[in-house]
This record gives sequence, structure tokens and C-alpha cells, in this order.
Amino acid sequence: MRWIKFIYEQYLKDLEQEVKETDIEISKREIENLRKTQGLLKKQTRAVLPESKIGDVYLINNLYFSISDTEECPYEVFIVSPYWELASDKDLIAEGKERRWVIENLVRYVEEEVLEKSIKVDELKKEDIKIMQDFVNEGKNLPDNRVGLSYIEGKGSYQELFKESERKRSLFLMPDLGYEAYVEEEITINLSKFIKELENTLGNRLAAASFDSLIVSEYGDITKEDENLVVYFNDKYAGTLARIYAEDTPIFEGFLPKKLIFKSNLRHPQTLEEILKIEPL
Amino acid sequence: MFKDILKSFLNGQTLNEEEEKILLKTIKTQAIYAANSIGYNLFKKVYSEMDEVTNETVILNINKKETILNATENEGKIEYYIKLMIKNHIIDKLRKKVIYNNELNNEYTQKDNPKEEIVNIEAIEFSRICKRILTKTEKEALCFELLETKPENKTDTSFGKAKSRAHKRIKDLVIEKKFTSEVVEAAIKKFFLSEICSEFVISNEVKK
Repeated sequence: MRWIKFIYEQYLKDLEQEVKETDIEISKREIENLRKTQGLLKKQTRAVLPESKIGDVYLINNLYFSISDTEECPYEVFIVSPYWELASDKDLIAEGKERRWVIENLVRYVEEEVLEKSIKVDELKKEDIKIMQDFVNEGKNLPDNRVGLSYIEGKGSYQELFKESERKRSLFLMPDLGYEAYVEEEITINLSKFIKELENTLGNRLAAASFDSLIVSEYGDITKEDENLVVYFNDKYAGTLARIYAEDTPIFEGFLPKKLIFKSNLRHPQTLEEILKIEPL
Repeated sequence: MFKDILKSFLNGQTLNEEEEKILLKTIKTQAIYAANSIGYNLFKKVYSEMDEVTNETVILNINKKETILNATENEGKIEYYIKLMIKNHIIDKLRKKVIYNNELNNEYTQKDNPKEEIVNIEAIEFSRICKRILTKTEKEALCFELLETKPENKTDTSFGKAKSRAHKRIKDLVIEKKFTSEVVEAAIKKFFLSEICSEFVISNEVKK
């Protein structure tokens, strides 16, 4: 077993959806164990939400970050991860109070509301946060013995795949800098490539029905132009990071453009609306 | 509801049987998820049954009582934390058992040098694959190249050919499995010479 591959696979599995509670039997023995274990509890602890300080590591959903600056809100943070084996040579590996982390070369910003939804899980040393800040802001070197493996860009190494995934999934912690984000004008997707069979089924089932040529959907207007179906995303969706599914097949992941063209055998906007699902990332 | 029950449990309050079941069900679900995610074969290396993980998770909750109680006070989803906590705990155990006990001896395990750790973990794997994919002649050619000498029983041409074949195989391996340059370097310095080359060096010395 190649350990780094195993670690990368485990990292990916963590990104999967929330665990659904299944029908599990609980035995009497397990309940007895629970009661015995409760006896190990020493004293009452009153929950007090501590004030955030530099180095605190938080978890929100399945993304970890560590606060690097508390002077102004939104707070500046570094994305961190317990999968330190996936660190690159531009990341710092550091020991927290509880466990080892990689402090990634990824700066993001969090508002108070994000902190309120996050769980404080560990603390890193202020000095380590400072080392990373000096690297990011002033180009100072990271200590040789505490960085990850180097990699050649574009070759699909585990470090590169990890970095790209972390970058994408932490984009929701980017600051609103007061300017409009660039939104791609149009993107074309060959839908038939993904769902050819489904297209045929839907085509047969709906051939005889009559349809509107323009649908106003939750995502924006869906219409037919030339031989293609087109979605004009409304302001709520255009420019946001999302994954698009046709039924259950993922067909696109990235920033939504203003206009998304579907090359498809589907003939009616309604049919597209029926199978389209957009999941914000 | 789970949050409230967990809070009561950690505050030492007596739960009724229904609450105990809810608490255990949620914890066990997360534990099962973690075990499935790791894979049965690896899971079996560190646990003999599922109950052990559930028990350990309850103990982990107690050990991290403060973190968990604080978390119950905000809007964060505590189940996520428990899921990741168990998963990280199992991976930590595996790391110790599979990697550090079996693969790396103390010489290569330095707490203050995580870079060295990961390079060595990868270098061992690289050497292992090399042992498997290189033919005896190719291994021999590589070793003698590293030792900057030539086997006595080989002509320059056959030695050169074996070397080129070995280089090609290693290059392909690096590309296919995405090994980095520092890993290859470490594998050659630390493992090739001691593990792979010893066979040829010794036999060559004996012949002399």
C-alpha cells in the first residue's frame, strides 16, 4: 500500500456528503459500556465560547482553517489540514496542541458568522503562523525540514491535486473586496456526451407533448437558441462556484457563466429544467 | 436533539435509555462511516470489532470534552467533528502501526522533521516497486553505476544496455506513479545501496 495515495483517498472521502444515519441496533452491552465510560468524567465544565486568537484551528463542515490575524473582521486565516502528508514545499507542517497539521499557502477571510458556525478543534503556535505569514507576505524561506514534497505543476501529483481541491473548496471564504468578480460570458457543454441514453428516453417520452419556448426557472431563463438549449443564469447564480448535475450525472464544476449553452438532443427547455440540478460549492 | 443529549452526557447527567440509544446510534454511525472509509483490511489491523471503535469514540468525546461542549454552544454541526475526529484517530493509529512500526525504524522517524518522514515513507515505497519491476541484471547495472564501477563479468555494451533499460523503467515509474525528485534521490541514497545493492556488492567482493 502506498501511504500517500491512501492518505489522498481518505482526504477525498472526507469531502463526501454528510453521513446518513442508518438503522443500527444498539446492544445492552453497549449501553452498559456507555454508562461505565460516563463514570470517567471528572468535573462539570461550563461551556464558554472562547475569544478567537491567532493560531486557533477551526472546522467548518469539513474544511479547517487557522486564524492568522484578528485585528480586523473579517479575520485573515490560513487553510489547514490534518492530512499533512499532502503538503507541498510551499506549505508549512506544524504541531498543534492536539495533532500535526499542514498550514497551507492559502489565505482566506472569515466573518464572525462563519466563526459562529465553526468548531474550535486545536491550537497552533503563533510563531508558526508568523513563519507562514513571512513566507506569504515577504517571501522569506520556510524551514527546510518542515515543508512537504515538491512537485512539477501540471503532472497531477497528489500534492497538486490536494492543493487544487483545497483552493476550490475554500473559495467561499474569499473576501468581498468591493469589486465585481469576473464572470465568464458563455460556456458550452456537450450534454449528449454525458447523458446520451437519458436524452433518448426523455426524447421519446416527451416527443408528442407541447412546450413553452422559454422557461423562467430558479436558476434563470432556459430557452432554445439555434439547435441548443441555453440557460441565462440570474444574478443569484452567475459567477458562483457550483457543480451542475443532469439527473445524477455531474456535468460541470466551476464558476457559472452568464450564459450556459447545452449541445444536446433534448428539444424542450422544460426537459432540461426537469433534469438540471445545481449544487453550490 | 443529539447535541443536547451529548451535552447532558458530558455534564455527567443521567440519560434515559432512549437518549442513550440516540447518543450511541449517532456515534456508531460516524464510527461505521470512518471504518468503511478506511477499508476493512486496514481497519482490522487496528481493531478487532466495531464496538471497540464506538467505545474509543465515547472516550475521545470525554477527552475532548471542553472542545465538544464549546461546540455544542454554537451553530456548528457536531456530527461532522465527531466523524472527522474518529477518522483522524484511526488514521493516526494506522500511521503508527503500519508505517512507523513496520516500515520506518527509529533512524528515519524524527518528530521534528516531518519532511524527512514523508520523503522516507515515499522512498521505501519507491524502492519496493523498483525491487519488483527491475530485472536482476538491471538492478545490478544500477548498483554498479551508483558505486561508480562495473561488474567484472559484463562487457561494456551489455552493462550499458542494462543501465539504459533500468533508467527507462525508473523514469516511467516516476512519471506513472508521480514520485517527486527528492523521493527518488532519497531512495537511491538510503535504500538502494543498503537493500538492493548489498546482494551484488557482496557477491562481487566474494568473487574477488
